[in-house]
Amino acid sequence: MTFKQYLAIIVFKTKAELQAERQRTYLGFIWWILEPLMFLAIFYVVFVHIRQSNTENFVQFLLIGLILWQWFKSSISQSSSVILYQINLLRQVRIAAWIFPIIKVAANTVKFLIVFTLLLLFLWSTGFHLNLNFLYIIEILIILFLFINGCVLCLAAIIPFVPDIRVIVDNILLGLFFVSGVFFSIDVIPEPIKSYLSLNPMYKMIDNSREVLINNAAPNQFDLLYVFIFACILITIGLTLFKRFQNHYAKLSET
Amino acid sequence: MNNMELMKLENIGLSFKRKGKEPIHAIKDVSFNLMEGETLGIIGRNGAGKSTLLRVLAGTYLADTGSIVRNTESCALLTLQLGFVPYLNGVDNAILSGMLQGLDKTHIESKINKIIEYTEIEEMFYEPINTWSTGMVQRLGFAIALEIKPKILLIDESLSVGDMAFKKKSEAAIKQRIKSNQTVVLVSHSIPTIRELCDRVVWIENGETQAQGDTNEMIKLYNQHMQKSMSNKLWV
Repeated sequence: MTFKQYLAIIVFKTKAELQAERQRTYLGFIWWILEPLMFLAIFYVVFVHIRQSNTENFVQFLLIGLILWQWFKSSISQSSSVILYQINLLRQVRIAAWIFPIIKVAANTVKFLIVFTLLLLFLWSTGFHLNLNFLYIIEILIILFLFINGCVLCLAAIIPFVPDIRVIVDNILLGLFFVSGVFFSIDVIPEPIKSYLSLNPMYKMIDNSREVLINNAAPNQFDLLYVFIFACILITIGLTLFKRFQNHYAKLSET
Repeated sequence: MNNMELMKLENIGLSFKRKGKEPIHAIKDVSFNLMEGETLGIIGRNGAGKSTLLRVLAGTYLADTGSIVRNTESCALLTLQLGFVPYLNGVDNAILSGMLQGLDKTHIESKINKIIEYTEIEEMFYEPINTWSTGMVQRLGFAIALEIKPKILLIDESLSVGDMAFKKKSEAAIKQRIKSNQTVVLVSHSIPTIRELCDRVVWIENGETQAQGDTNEMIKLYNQHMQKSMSNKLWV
């Protein structure tokens, strides 16, 4: 199959996946908004009313962090073991296995974009008027999209052989959540730990998004370049692994 | 019959790894060739490695040992209901399944009316297939399979699906396809089917080619062998 055919499959299957998801529940696509809202509400209560954070514009600060983080986290947790469910199909047709995790990421990205649009409306309605620097957010989202795909490809390629990695990944995600500056600024952490933590690509993306959306400032292009290179390396490794193992997935036993 | 060789297998072997156990050697040593336009039958008892072999031909399993020479890349298993999603309607499932098997979206879209007509389920076609009956889903699967036209068609057992009426229709369609100039590799337990359709037969036993050649001759050998092993079992 050609790359164009794969792209067509990815687009069609993503739509199908979203449509199927819509029909599986009673409320359908309302859940795409309701679910993150419920999640956000919990954090809002905990950090604004119980812990009473003193960060300026904390609600906006928290929302940006949580929404970007959820995009990253649900993409990874939903796509990394997706190959295991496609083994029967891979036994019947010759088709590149890497498209299946990418489809999951794509479906997640559509849902993210809906929530992100609501976030922008919220920012606008709470007095954050955006200037031209706002366009930088597009650059950030594209790089983050590549980074997510890179992570997912690497994980999805090896998890079919070592399903145990899933358990580790869940815990690493939880750990990363605490050090990505989602609900507190990383500035409160003492050196030298802070310097190490700021190497975390998710931290850089969340931090720069806040810079653009809350402070109307331009992002740090070195940070973006750093994550972009990170993403390119991960995508290359992921695709290489998939190429290497393409013919081995079909021989695994089904889940 | 044309004389061009489409595929040549030499000493193919394939095993499945198992966690903490000895691997299973599903195929040990299989050799044969496939000529353009012929229908090659593969016989052998359960567990002889027939279905695994078919997947090696399809290219979804990579052989561990031996070599395969392919003179065409267009070689596919006849699959039914590949990639079907229960929450999607007939059209979307047809497009998705067709695309996964290498067809272009526009190509399948142009065939939708033909597929609807063939399956005889106009009234439900735009409803999600999880509201259809099993027979209706089978019909759709079969109608899509008929649209996939690889140079080499690999068939594992199933020649017909659905209720009595559709069974007849689908069996006739697939037989017509086999008897045409289509190159086919057919795995079947049904000796009458093999006798009716195959030009040549390869007999596989314990993952090895036991014999190959003329259909009637192979069937005779195979039957003798089966009777012998059965009577052995009876006397022991």
